[in-house]
Amino acid sequence: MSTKLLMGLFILILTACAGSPPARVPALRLSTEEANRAAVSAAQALRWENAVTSWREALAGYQAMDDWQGQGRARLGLGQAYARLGRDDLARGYLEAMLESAIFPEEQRASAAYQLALLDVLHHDRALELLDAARRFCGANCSLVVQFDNLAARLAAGRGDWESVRRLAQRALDAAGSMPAERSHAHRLLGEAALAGNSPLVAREHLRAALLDDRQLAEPEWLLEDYRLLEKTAALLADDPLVQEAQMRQKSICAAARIPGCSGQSGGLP
Amino acid sequence: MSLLKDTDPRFRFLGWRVVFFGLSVLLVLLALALGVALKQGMFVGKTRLHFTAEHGAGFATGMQVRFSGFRIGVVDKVALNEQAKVNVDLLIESRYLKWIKADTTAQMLQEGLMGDYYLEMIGGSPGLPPVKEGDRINFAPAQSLADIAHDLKNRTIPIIDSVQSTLDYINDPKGDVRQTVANVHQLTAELRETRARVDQLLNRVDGLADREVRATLDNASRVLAKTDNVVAEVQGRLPQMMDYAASSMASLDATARNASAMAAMLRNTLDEAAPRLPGLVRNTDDLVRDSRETLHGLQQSWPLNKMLTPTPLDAPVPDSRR
Repeated sequence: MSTKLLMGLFILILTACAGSPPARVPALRLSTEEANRAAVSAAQALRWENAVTSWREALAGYQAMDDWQGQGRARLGLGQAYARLGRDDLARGYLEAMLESAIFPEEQRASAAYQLALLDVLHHDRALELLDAARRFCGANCSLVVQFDNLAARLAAGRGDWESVRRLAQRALDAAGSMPAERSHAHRLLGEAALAGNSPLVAREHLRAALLDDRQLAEPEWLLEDYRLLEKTAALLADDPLVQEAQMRQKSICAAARIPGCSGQSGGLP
Repeated sequence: MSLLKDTDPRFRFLGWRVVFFGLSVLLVLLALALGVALKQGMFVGKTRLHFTAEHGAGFATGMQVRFSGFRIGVVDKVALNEQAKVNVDLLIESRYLKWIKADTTAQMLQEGLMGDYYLEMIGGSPGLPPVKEGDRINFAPAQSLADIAHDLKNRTIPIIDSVQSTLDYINDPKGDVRQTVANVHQLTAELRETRARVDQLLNRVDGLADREVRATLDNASRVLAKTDNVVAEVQGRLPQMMDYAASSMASLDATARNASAMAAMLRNTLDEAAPRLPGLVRNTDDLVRDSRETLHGLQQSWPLNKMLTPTPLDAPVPDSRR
């Protein structure tokens, strides 16, 4: 019995080791993709300066290889990284070039237009124009439709069009599936719309759902926004314990996180 | 009853053939072993040398001994002696002994950044006779970058302290230098005042009547007497001031000498370290690249490739809430 087991193991090990070595990849492609992967890893860890360095290296490599899809990848990454570093001008420079040139794949151009719309979110008309361009580039089977709907709902909320907010955010919520960030955003927008429509009970439920996701996402800024809205909702419901809880949680977040929304609230809990 | 008959001609002399085959294999194996032993220098005459090291880190039996990069022997024995130092015995091939002299130094070096340690025989005056069996040679331990930095630190800090104390001395408001400068200022002011008064007096002399000349001259005499006093005071205090100035200049000179010595030492240290730096940087770069490639290869190998999620090339899509 044990001999058979050993033989089985031996054959298993031989099978595992029997794979042929991978084909040799040219040095430039290897280093470029290595830089690209390093940039993505840095972005996932929120090390944006490192991500910028690696994406710039990757962009130079893709340019040297005449790989426009790779260039698009690096440009989208650079746009996002510079936006996170507060260098909107540089981010626009990398992204706008993609809108103008049809040599980049359509889906990447859609992504570029969407990122530009995010950068121009305070300029309502320009953002809408860019969002339309993004939808046009993305086509029918677009993988970014949830993000587009949420952004459109956000813009509609900016102009006080709560009916559109409800429609778009509900559509995004239905399609969000395994995208917790978009799901929580949709819940938050629906909560805001419910609050504007004087339905604090509905708003409270949406905000609680948004908070569930935002705690998992560990985004202090989003949590602070949620609790502010929850505080307003609780005030409308005359739910004093909930008001106090929301205030306490806001103070706790502001005591630990340096975020713009916390100005004037620093100090907080010991 | 025999079931098989050896009628097939291929089975004739089968026993002899097996014996012949076995002997042939044995002979080949012996020849191979002999070849390996010859290659390893087992039949070459060797001479035993030894040295004592402060520390045994890096030493191991069988460690290579090289001369001009070629292997000329091995470390035969490493042992701790009664003085808590390390006795190291070397076996050097006798044919290479002609280059090992009494002033030859064995220096411990390392192949690359993470390679094996080995002993490199350095120096050896051509005029000296070769060493003999049992002779002692010098040993120099490997000096790492950390050692160089430590040495530099130990030699630099006293100089910096000295410069600091000298500057403190110069800047001290109650110190000799500042006092001397203040005295010079004071005396200069007094001299100017005296000069003004003399000028005033001389002007008055021109306009005075004869009857006033004597009194004026008396005044002038008093002023000149006072001037003499001032000059005498200056003369009295000048040597002391000059002493202070000389002392200050000596301090400044010492400071400058210290700074110069420090610069020279830094330059020497850099000169020593500089040739190794490009190699170190290149090795580090290679090491990082090799490590990355190895890690990448490991990540693609079974079973790690089933356990790890590969990093995608596409950047994550930014959230609509940003």
